[in-house]
Amino acid sequence: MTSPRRTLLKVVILGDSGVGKTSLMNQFVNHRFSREYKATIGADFLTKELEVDGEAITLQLWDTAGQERFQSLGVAFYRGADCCIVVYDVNNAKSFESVENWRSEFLEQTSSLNNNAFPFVILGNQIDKDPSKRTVPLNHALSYCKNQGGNLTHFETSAKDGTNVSIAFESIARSALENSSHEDYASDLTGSISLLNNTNESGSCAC
Amino acid sequence: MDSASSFQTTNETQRIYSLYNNSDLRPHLSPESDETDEYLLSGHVDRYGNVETDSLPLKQLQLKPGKKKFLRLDKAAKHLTQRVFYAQDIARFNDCDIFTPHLSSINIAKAEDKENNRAKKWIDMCQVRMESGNQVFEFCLNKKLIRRTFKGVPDCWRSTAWSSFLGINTEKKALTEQYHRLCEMECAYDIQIDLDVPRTAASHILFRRRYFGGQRSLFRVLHAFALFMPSIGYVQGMASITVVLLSYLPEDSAFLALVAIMEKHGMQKLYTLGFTNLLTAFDTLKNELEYLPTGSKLSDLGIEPSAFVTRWYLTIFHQCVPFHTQLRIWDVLLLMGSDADKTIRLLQAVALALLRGLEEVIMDTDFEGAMQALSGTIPVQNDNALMAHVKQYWHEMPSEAFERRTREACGMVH
Repeated sequence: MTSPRRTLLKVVILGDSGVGKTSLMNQFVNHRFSREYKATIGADFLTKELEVDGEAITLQLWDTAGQERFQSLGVAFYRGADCCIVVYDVNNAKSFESVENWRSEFLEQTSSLNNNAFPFVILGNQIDKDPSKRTVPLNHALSYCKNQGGNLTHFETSAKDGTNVSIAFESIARSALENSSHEDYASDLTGSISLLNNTNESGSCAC
Repeated sequence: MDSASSFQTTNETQRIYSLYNNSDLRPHLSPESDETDEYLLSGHVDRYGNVETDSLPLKQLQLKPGKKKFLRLDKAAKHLTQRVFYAQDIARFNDCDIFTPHLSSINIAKAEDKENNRAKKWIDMCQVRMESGNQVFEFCLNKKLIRRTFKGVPDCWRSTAWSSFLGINTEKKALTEQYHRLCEMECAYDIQIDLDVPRTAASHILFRRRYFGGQRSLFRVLHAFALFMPSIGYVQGMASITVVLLSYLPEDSAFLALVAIMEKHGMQKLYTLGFTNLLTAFDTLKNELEYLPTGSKLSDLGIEPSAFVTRWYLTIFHQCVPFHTQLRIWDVLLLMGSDADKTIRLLQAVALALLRGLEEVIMDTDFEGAMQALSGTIPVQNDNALMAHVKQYWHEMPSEAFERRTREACGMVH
């Protein structure tokens, strides 16, 4: 049996309580949505196999607790991550204000050498709700991502009806893959990986 | 937080508070809402009030054929959990009254006989005394009580036994009055509590109706507790503990019980800001695991206890094992965990027993397989077998057994 070698990528999902982290993960992995999710205590774990640009990938998704004080347990889950997702609820301004807090806490705890290069994917979830309830306009989120200057990508999603979920996770997989190639190159100079691409340093917002 | 947003937060907590306390404010059900009586009361309800539906995306370990040796089906236990709820039982939940399933509704004669016999033994152990005109039921801590508690408190005795174990059976007028005062006060944690109330025990019939019945009691107990212990406040995980208490005790007793579990039994230590004691408990467990084959395998796979034990400990195994198994763990914890050290030791003993039970699965799997087994619901079927292991580790942790054997070996040399 000849199965192609799979690349294992670790992705951490952060964000305030109740924004839909577990729901997004389940929509992506199992293609289903239920109102009856339980609160995530500590962390939860799911995997998904997919193919990006012809490469076979296993995404290891770490779903975390949203209550702020669980950040002190985070370091164990953050370690070795190839990409970080920060989720907010477009109908909850406070959850959007927290995005930067989650991002900086993650960078601090992982003490990443090149903070600007580490890929973050910011997801504005729950766009299926009544538009009159929205408190975070799309352009606010876009200008945040632009002004941060790091490697930030932004999508608006609905875990309930699945809007943009697979597109967003494909982008996540691509960012993680690219980041892990950088790491491999840095740690193993004799490796034959040729994906190093420094032109991607400027902040890009793909929407 | 600027003044405008703090004003908004106050408005939001007030709005949430009134939803749980005022019937008139309950939002109108939309047509697509699935909160109809048919939905809420449909499906098979087990003896503990858990509704079995397929809509729940509960993660459960799928055992490969030939891997069931250690999870032998205990027939009696299986039948006991299949007892049906009757209409009058369901009707009582609307008043969020005490939840005490009737023994009479067991439909399997053999299991009923067994449980009845055990219940009779508990009658003999129970001592009744009068305190300010009320009957107080007590159990004297002795070897017989400990042995029988490890065998499992008969379900009809749980409410009484747990109250006695936690010391909340005697009159606690001052604390009860404080509870009602705290219920009236404002609490900054209401927003977080409101998020967790509907998603803590969605499968339990007591907690299914939004802003009503059990959800109201759950909200109020957590709200009051966050105010009662401001050094900790509300932390996710507490809701799971309260759900189990509310399944067996009326609302104000559930509050007293939660206070007892946190203070006397020392669970508050695990919840402190920064989780320092929880992190220490992870290290202790990791150390103990080095004496088990499962431990070195988990190390090889790069799986730290922190990856799966947080939920086990902070919720005291809620939805980590089947409900009937969780109750058996709670029986022992409430009796034996009379201070923080004993409580944590018992949690470690249960964790070790579960990991030992999963040995065959873990030894034969990869990172993903192990994580999936450990982060889902572990389908324990034979509670007696699990509790036997718990008892063993409770008496002697693997490191202690190793030291004893080393001492014995030295003794033989001299």
